[in-house]
Amino acid sequence: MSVIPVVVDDLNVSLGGLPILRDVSFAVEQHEVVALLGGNGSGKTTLVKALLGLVPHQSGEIAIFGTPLAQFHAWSQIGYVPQRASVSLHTTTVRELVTSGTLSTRRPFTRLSRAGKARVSEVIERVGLTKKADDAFVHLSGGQQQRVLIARALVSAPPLLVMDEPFAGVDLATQQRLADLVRSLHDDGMAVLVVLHETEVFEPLLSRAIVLREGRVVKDGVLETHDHGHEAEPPGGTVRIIEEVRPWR
Amino acid sequence: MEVITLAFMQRALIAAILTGLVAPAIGTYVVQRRLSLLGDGLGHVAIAGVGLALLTHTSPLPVAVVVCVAGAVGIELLRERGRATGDVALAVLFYGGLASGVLMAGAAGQGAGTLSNYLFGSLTSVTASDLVIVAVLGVVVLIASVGLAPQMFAVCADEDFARVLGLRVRAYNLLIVVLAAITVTTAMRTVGLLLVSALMVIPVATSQNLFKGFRSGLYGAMGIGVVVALSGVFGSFYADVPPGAFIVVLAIAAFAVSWPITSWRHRRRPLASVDEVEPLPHEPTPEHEHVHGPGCGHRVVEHGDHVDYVHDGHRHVAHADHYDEH
Repeated sequence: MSVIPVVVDDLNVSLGGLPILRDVSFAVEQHEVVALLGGNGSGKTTLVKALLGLVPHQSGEIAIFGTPLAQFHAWSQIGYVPQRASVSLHTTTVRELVTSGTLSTRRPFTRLSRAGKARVSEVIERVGLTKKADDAFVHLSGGQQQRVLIARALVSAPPLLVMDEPFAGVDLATQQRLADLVRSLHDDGMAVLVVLHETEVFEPLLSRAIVLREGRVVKDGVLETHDHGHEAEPPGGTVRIIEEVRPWR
Repeated sequence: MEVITLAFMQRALIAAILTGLVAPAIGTYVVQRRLSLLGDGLGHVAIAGVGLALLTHTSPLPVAVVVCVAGAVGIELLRERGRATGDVALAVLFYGGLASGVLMAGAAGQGAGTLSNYLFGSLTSVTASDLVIVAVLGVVVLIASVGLAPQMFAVCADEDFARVLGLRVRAYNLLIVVLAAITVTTAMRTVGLLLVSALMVIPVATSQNLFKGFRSGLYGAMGIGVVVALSGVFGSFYADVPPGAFIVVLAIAAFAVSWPITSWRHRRRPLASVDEVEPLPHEPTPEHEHVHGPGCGHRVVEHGDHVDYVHDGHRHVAHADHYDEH
């Protein structure tokens, strides 16, 4: 199966009458790690929410795994990692939060199967939080909470991971741990679309970067690297240098 | 214990058990959605239903249920469409419901004494037909609150994530307020419309102090709700005071007792280390002939107590006779 995970074509989104995204087109191919870059207010988060159906779009097409968004129901194929989770019941445990990721394939009034429980433990282990599995989510550090949200997104073994600024409020060492985790997911064949303020620790992983400015895509291509003659050109020789990425680095 | 041989007390005790189970059960979701005062607003809407029933000489409980559910749906739709903030919507519920209820009760020739039976509960007012309605609706609310706990938990914890799971978030949000409205009205005979919100919120807060985890907290709150509701009904009988007041005072006392326990637990909990996680799986780089070192031409990234070298989609460091991916 070679269906493109995300195709966005000529997308326009307005919120409260204010245009936020204008004529946005891009795609995320299988096995790609694509960064969405841009300053505050450039429309990155709105774009992510639009392609997940969380905000309506006025015109344009969004297709997820080849299916128009309006007809898309295979939600277990998408793992969504929001910037943060608002957990008001302060005793909610890591395991409970991660278990909620199983609901895309569970019917109401059914118990979680033994295999489902094992899968929850497996993804908690994968993000390195087995010892914290029964701790309260709100007592974890920012980086650990981010790992929990990633684990929750991974429960359904989705082929596409969408992350909205996973590094917000996370120190550099923890950013590196999260990047390591995303690398291992990418190695498993997962396509990743990640909203970033800075490429920094993610840079070695990125297949491509898309730069938004005032709701428009101003650049879409492969990042320039610091290497000297070691970087292999991607197939098709479509390497483009994104000078505009530098100010955010 | 002759008291439990009295027919009206038996009805009051059964109603108290159901209310004690149901109010904290749905209250768990209401608290999680940060709408702790929703029950209070719905209680005021139900007063309009009681006033309407008195005016039309019909049974107050079924009319109050219908009016309260309609009000709950209306306010949820307003909130969802962003046409009223939570505060404004609740204020409309408070004053519109209370004022119209008192107006209609007055027009029906009923004074404050009649209304107070519904506002603070009354042991003698639970009729056999009321008990049937309370039991049926209570079981419905319980089945939904416990059976749909995973879905309602997900919706309350993170609406956006729940939507990406494919859950019908709007339907679950509506279900929560409808169940809350049913709970408020079925509780009016025991704890009363003005105090029912306390039984929806305080046992939940108490349970949070005593139990770890959402589901444990849910069952714990239901247990605490039953204990305080039953104790309150007995206390009300012997002290000859409205049961609602007794139940709520007991609920607050339970919360006060639980408070030091959670403080003690927090003091015992070791401070979380930022980096307190197990390392990710050890991942060696396959076949790497080049030897990295200062001046080798590859990008260097500081990583904890060492440096990683970056090239060709790898970021790794020498380890024994191979390189590890970092």
